[in-house]
Amino acid sequence: MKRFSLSIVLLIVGLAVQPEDLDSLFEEEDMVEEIIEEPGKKPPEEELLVSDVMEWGGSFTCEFTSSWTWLYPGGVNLADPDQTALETDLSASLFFDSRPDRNFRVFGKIKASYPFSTELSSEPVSVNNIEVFELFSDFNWNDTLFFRVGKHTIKWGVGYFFSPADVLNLYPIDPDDPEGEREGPVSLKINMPLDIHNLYLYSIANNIEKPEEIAVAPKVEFVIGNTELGIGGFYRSNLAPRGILTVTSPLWVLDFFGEAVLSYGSDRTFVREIGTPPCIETYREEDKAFFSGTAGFSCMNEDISLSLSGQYLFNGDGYKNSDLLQNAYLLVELDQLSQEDLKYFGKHYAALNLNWSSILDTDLGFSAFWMGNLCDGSGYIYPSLFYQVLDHAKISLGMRINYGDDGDEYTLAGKTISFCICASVEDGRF
Amino acid sequence: MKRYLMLFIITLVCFSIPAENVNFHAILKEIDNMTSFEDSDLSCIYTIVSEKPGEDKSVQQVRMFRRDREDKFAALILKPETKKGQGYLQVDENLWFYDPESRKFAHTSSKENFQDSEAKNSDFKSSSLSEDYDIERSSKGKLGRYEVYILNLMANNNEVTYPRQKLWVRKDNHLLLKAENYSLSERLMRTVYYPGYISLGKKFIPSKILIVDELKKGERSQLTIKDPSVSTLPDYVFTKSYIERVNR
Repeated sequence: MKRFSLSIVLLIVGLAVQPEDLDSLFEEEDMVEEIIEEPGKKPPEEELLVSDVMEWGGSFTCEFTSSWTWLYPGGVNLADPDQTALETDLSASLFFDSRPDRNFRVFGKIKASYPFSTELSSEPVSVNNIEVFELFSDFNWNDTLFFRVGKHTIKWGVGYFFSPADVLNLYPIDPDDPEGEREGPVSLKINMPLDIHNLYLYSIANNIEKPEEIAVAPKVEFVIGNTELGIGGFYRSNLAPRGILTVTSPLWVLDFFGEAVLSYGSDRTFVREIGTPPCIETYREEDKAFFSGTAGFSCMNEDISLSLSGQYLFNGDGYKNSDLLQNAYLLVELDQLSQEDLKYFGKHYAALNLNWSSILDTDLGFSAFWMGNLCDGSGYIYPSLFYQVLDHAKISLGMRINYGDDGDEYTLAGKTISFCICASVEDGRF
Repeated sequence: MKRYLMLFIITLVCFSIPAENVNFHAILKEIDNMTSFEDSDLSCIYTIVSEKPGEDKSVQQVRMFRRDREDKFAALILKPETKKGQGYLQVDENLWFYDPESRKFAHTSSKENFQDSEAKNSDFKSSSLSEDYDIERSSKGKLGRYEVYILNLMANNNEVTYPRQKLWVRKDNHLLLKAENYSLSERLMRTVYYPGYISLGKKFIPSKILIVDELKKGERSQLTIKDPSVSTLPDYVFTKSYIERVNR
């Protein structure tokens, strides 16, 4: 009887898992439909260039991150963290895209973020946290020269975590969010495509008052085989002129990229030790050549949702060690240095990111990001687990460990371990 | 014993060689010719419906431009809203992916899946079976109501997405009906069905494609085509500038 019952169960299971017969798709007699194109129809490439209605859209982000931080060594008391924090990132962007004519388009994007206004400490007024992120117009001459004028993000370098070539956008890439939007300057871009190759000329007029302060940046991009090379330059009267070389080349499953930058002088204000007891002073290097370079790779296996990216940076105007860094921060408070002067303090950096976005086809994912200053040996690692609770809602648990010696770049505030819980609404584009 | 062995070999030979003298390489060339638009350009809109177990169906719409004689294609994502504005440009062996958020083009390998569907980027390009594959075996069979040739192919270069393929080709008009894509270790990766075609002059383009992932059970994508056109496209369509201009 048991054997009989087992047979019935196996038969039912067998029927249930029997593969669908898709060969039955070919039972119909007529599988070819003849199409005759309507004459006078609007060319398909034009349909995307003109629109009778203005398109609106945007994005929404809401993220709450709670973190508990402990200093180590010295014993980590889980019940008594040295610092706790709750960060709220509530922001939205709104854009419009108007295409009244195939040769004329206007695009604008504004962003607002919480808190929506900030009290100025010096004056009894508040400033709205709303900014015009992009506002530009596209037009062309004879479909040969293409112009984009206004405030827009500029594509210049090819680096993923670091891009020493990119001095055109207002802010450098944030290695913690390398694919994030970056604010560009007010500029005019002229692009002339030559088959697969491209010529560019940028004129940048951001926050300037005199015509001689306009920066110019020409660039040529050309393709040889499956390698794309870019050669460009940057000149602005009061900044160090630069020559750049970029290269990208996919090889097998890896996408390689690299940048080389040669500048005459540096825009950084340096610090050096003087006298005894050790004091520091600032100085400029305006008549010396500096070389910076970077190389990296990225690869992705979409079948298992795994991606890996890595990059090395040689920072030509960086310091060999971080001995002066702590004292240099004192000069920031005295307005003798800016925060930018102390960013990427070392000469050698590296970053690596591993992302497994859906482990074994589940909603669970894992990512790990490491970034290090290879000169002083400090850095941080941030492994995290995340779970897609709903289509647009995610929670993540992560632990950030800062390591290095006291006073190094990533341990200026001490060696820390932080435990973070984050709940977010993401991918909220509309 | 020897007699049985001889009989077995003769039977094997009889079944593996078709009765008529067919030039299968010429058939592959005909498939390439029928589905390649060497004398004109091609533009159309693909709708891709992807199914994954436990998830809602996802729908994507892509505007595609093809110029086969120069090995170029441009693809622009129209739907869903979260991906609208992304675009692809392929020229020869180079593929760029445009992300409107960073306004950057990523120069990338061309073997990846197309936008989280079962389709590969190569599925949107012209066919080059006769150049990329050698015929290992052939036989005859039936698929649905159609008499077919069944061809086992092996790649002769490592640029192709799949090193081995098995094709079901209609005997009467040589339309490709079904393809099984294998890895080098002969593992079945996916099965592709072509149950409908559109004829545009002397050319054919699959109007429906069903791609079944054989590694992840229950995952499949169905592609349908609309607004096909063979009008000549301007050169600027296949440039980064156009991809940037038409996107967000």
